[in-house]
Amino acid sequence: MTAIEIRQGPSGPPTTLSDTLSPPGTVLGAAIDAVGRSFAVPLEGDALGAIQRFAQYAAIDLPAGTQDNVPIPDGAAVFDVTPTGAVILPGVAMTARGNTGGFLLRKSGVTGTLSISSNTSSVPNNRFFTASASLYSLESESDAVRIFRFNTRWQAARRLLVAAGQSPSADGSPALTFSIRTTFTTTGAGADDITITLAIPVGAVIYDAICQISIAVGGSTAVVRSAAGGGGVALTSTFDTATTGTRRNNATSLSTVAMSSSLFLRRSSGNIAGTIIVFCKPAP
Amino acid sequence: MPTVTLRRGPSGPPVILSDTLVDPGEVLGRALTFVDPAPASELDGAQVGAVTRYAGNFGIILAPGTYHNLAIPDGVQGVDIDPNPNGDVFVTGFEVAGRGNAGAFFTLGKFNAGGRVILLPNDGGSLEGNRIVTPGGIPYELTNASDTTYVQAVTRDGQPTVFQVADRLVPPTGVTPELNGFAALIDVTVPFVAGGGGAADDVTVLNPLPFNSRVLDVTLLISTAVVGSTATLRSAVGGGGGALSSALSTAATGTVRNNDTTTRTTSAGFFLRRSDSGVAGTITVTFCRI
Repeated sequence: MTAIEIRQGPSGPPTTLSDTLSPPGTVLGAAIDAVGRSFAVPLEGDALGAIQRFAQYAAIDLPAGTQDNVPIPDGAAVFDVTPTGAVILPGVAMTARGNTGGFLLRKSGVTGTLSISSNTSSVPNNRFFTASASLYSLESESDAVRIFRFNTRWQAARRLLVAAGQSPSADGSPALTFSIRTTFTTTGAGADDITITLAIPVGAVIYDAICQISIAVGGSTAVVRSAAGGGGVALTSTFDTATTGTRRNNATSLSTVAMSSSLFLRRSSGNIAGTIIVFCKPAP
Repeated sequence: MPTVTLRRGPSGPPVILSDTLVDPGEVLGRALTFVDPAPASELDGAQVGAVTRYAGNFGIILAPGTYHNLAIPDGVQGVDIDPNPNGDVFVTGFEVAGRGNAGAFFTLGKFNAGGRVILLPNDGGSLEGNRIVTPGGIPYELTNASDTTYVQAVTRDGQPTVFQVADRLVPPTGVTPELNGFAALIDVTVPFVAGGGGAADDVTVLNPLPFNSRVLDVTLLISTAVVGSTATLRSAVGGGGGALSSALSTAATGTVRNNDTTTRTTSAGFFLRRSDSGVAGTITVTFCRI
């Protein structure tokens, strides 16, 4: 083990970063002190893959707070951070040859959180960028994310979880859920349709819905259907929209819609206004 | 002729690789002490990129069951497992042939729609140096066709190599904001006990919020009621900020649901303002990121 004395940043105390280098195995090519030979060996297959294998491992303990421009040893394949409290990394700096390639950023230990902030480092060349510029957090033990070098930035190669990006779930299995929300205003006296979606991105089970009425019309109702004009099938119970407030689904069974299906709110009066929220889970 | 210098570290001999970039499919290695050596020089960006381009793939059909020390050919970057016939394929470790596990990495994918590929963390069925580390230490599942994840061998001083899955458990901050009405749902549930009673107070539900939020629903489970009392979710304490729900009656025990006329948004916090601190129960706020 080799200890490298580094500084976390202008305001932080020196921290010892352990840089443990494991033998990468036999890498084709020759050691610098090899006896002179004139072999020029085409590397292919496993040998070519082996060139890219390097086992350099770097670990660091970081105290809570923002730790900017934390140094990483040149060529590190894995950067393992043990946070004490909530740690935010705006940027990191590779030593020696500068920032290039990429590495696996990993959170060690069960305590604290390790987050990378997007486009905030004091040194532009050291900055992380994240999906949607959101704070990207590693919270669980052994959470990890691959960091790639894109142009002049470190890019976390992950997306945020999208509403319809979750695993299908059969009855009796845990499910991640999502909602579809549409507000609607008054448009006229006659019955009409409010488009909730024209293409639901996944097949979905509708397990609940609420209709919040801000402008009511005596004797009016509304219902979520699979087609406009009152066509298709009803996907919820009929909501009483005669008074303001929140109306809740009272269906007697679940409804299922296929991917790319449409959902409409059929209202008996165009003079009601409010919000429809449909609660779904991905269908198996 | 350009060369790339790979250093094993202070304790090991430096290694020199030289390459001739005829095309990405042919990379030549040569000793620095070549009889008629060309000067050693750093590879430029494009040359380094060419060296690292490699498309080795390893596809394997596995019947449902548990596999320890699953053999992976040396140097591949893609490992595709096809559960066939459909069923659950459990893998407790990988063993890279030839040069060993140190430094290995690959994209692990699931081929075809049927079955699942499940990585079991730190399972004793595999040798210590072949085992898998997963986010949160829970089984890591590839469920859908073409689900993939990046796997990187991690070797620490004095410890066996492990294969780290490059993923995380999704925290609430890991969801995308509401888009075109679609949103991933997040709940926060807080039990609250009765205080002295007779005066209004606040129950902190979530403060600060991790992001700008839209309240979709509020549910109160009232275990201790106070006649004539109400409770309202607000964005600040002391009855300040904006109301995020209707005024919910807490005059009787049971389940009480939001009766608002629209959704409410805030960037501040969630506080339950109860008109009488003698009320006890549980509040659940269903919200999404905006």
